Amino acid sequence: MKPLNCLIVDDSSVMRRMVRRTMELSEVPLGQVHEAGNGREALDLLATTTVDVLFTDINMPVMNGADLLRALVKRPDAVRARVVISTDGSEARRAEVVGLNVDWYLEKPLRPEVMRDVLSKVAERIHG
Amino acid sequence: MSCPKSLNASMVEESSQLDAAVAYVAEEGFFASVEPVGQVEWDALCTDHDTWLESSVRFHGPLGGALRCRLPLALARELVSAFLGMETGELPPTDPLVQDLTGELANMVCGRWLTRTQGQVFDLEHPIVAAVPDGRCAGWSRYAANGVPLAIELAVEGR
Repeated sequence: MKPLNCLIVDDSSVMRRMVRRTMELSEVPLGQVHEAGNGREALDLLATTTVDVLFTDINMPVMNGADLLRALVKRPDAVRARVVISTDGSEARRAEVVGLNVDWYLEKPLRPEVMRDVLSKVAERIHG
Repeated sequence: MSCPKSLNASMVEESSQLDAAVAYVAEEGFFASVEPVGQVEWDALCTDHDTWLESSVRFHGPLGGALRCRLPLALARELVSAFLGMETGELPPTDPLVQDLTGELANMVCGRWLTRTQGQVFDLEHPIVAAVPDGRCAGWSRYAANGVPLAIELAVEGR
């Protein structure tokens, strides 16, 4: 199976480490794992590269996750799968990202088995 | 800025939801076991710790307020190390991840509590983390997390 290239967007360095750790525990083959501290940094990175799966927080300074996802609606080829990871799991917050091509909405803290399930499904979707 | 009032005793249900949020975040996020403790046990747990951290997260929305976490530096190091698969001693006490973790703990507990009790959209400010001199926290919810003290205060404006 071809390794998945990923981008983790969160303003907390420890949360980025935690997401990366759950990805490593999933045993799904990983390629490059990029990190960005906010939506703007993510867009800058995606100007020069594409990723298979994006994991983004919502509540971030400079550019939040919803604005990042909104910007990416115009760039469907930049990211193959989009995953929100947020402390806010309310239906009202989930409704805010409807229409922004979000494939999964996950709550923090993230369980390793949930990450494994998501990455496996992304890999299946991309590689068949 | 006015100081929000602490939850009073009549808010037992919300306090119970806070206990549930703390337990969920600690267990699911950091593989830590959490139990509420009383004053005597709290005092005993605190005797071994002389370096403490406090994180606070303010929230805005249909309700405004703040959630604060107070814990020994040792617990913050232990939680980070457990999650990242490191030995506790590998992580220097001054590592930025320790402070970041302390902030995220408050952030996740606050988010979990708001999601489960309110179900509406809230904006959470970036957590603020600072060293505090001790574990004194009258009126806070107190827990033992892996046998180490952890205190949480939830304050809602206008109550």
